[in-house]
Amino acid sequence: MTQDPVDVLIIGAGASGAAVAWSLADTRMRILCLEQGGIPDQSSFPTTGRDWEARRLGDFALSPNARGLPEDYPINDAASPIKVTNFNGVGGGTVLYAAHFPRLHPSDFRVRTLDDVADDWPVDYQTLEPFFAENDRMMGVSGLAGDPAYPPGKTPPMPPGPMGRSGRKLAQGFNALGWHWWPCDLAIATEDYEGRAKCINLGACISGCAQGAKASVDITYWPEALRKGVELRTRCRVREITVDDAGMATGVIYYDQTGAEQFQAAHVVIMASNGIGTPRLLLNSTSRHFPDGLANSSGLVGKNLMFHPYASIQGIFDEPLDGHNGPHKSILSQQFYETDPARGFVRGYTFETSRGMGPVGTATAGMSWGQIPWGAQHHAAYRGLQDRVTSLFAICEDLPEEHNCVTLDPTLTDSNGIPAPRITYTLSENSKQMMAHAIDRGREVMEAAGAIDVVTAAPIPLAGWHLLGTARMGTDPARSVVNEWGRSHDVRNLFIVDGSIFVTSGAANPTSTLQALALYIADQMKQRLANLFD
Amino acid sequence: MTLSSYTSQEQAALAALVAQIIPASQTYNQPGADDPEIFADILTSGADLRPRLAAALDHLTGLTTMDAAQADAFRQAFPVEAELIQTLTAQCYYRDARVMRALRIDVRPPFPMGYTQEPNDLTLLDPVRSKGEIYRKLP
Repeated sequence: MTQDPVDVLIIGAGASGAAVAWSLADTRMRILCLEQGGIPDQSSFPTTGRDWEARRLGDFALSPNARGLPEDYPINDAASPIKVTNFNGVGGGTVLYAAHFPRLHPSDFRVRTLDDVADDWPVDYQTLEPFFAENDRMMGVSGLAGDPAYPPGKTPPMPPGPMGRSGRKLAQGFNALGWHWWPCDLAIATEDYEGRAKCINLGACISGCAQGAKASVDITYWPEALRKGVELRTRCRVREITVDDAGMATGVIYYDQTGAEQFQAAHVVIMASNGIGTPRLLLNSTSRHFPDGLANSSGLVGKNLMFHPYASIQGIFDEPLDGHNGPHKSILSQQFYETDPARGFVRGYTFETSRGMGPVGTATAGMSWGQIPWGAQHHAAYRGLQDRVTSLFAICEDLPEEHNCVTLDPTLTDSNGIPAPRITYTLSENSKQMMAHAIDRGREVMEAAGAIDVVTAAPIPLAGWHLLGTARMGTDPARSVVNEWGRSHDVRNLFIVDGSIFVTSGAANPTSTLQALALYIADQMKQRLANLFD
Repeated sequence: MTLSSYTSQEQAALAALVAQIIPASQTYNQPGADDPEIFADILTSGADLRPRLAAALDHLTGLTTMDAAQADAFRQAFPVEAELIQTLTAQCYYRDARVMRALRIDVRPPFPMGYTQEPNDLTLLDPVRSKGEIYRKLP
């Protein structure tokens, strides 16, 4: 069935899709967003029940392969030490993220110039700064102005979240070593904000926020975008983007919630399907004009996949800390963010704290670490860990390498028969050196803070949160997929606004930056409406 | 066959194993994981796991009790299945109201009451502020 054409069709209702929809609604164009999942129901989120920890391994598992819900598509990530985590539904990854909201640094946009690695971005921090600020206001960010790791001018609209005993302990550790730390910027309301109630420290941010204090875009951007006239069609899975003989996008073929095939015509198509979903869809959109996938004349669609390899440093203390009570993140350190050649690797990492675990998490982690035995000693050992563990995670910058990629699996398909993505990824020597450095420094912090034991691991397998680089932006069509304002080099009415367009990963959680980029691209489109396709 | 679809022999073997993972404790006044209420939760919550556990449990057929050496041997022989059972056991055990009370954990879901946190002491930042800017300037 063919639907009436729309001016703008957005694929994906997550962090970037919501932001671009909200911004473009100013134009009064007819805007439609297709989303393969549904609208999350806060009243059924895990923290409303005592089985909240168990549901993390069930219907709220981080891996779509483990969840296996109808809206999830399978991902063959057997050939990657880091497994993909995501959420398919309105809100996208923001429904299950920890809401840690640091920005990339000015230096991140100039890595070729500064460190002779990868490529410079075609945009810079200064250009994005007003969009960072606008996004902070829309999402509702809490934090503390004055962080010396950033240029002046970053002023979160709400005061910082609670550091708690865990954050205080680790802050003392960083101070003892003379290293940088700062309260995290969090997309979590610490005051009642724009109709959202303030955080009450439920402590399970990555299972969805039943309070609605955490800024997932289903409760920030989307209500405003819908009020401005954007149409959101849920449980609609796009199979391919269609093109005409002139090589322009004409719309999409999708399956609606009944499984019926539909065609939706559109004058502009915007992809906001994340660093896995976007290349998957482009590679599935083959035609006479684009036999190797849409917008792929560079051959770079799906290439240069970047995660952030995570190193884990768990400190065990001999006094009670927070357990799981409170937002996951409290403080960060960017002492080792920038390149120091003496360390034996380029670029750097952020330390973020992670508060502690609930009762089940304590038991399972303690048993897997060998700290809690089976048998009669179980109970005493459990008490030695209960509320006495806190964590540092090092978010390591991942540099682009073409052999790390998303391709189409030859046999695996989703429930609509659409070929599924396959991930091929290896850790670079640079990443391994960086993680080893982070573990050594993290251990020093824990010991300076008074930890009586430290447990480390790297990389963390189930930490493929950040899906970046698979349709990079740039000014050279031979070396990039979209231009400096998000438009495909090959298809002049096709735009990409999600993490695919990152040129490098930086060493910070990407949501703030990718939303600022989406708002920037929307602003560029609005300024160029008269000659958008020239 | 019960709702869980574990056979009676599988149930007996599983009960013996979970009692070795988390035995009852008089010292701490806590039940073992083979306590009838907790074990019923294990069977129900772990129903979907049966196809992945059945072959391993088959090696414990006939056992109604188990000692630590037997449990360790099972763990060595079937590490994947042992970890699944360990996780399932922890999930069900540590949400039991009696266990939570013994551990002084509030027997309630996090929402809607939430939890309290102490106010921040931002004077801890004084040493960081005193060092000044550390971000990398562009040429």
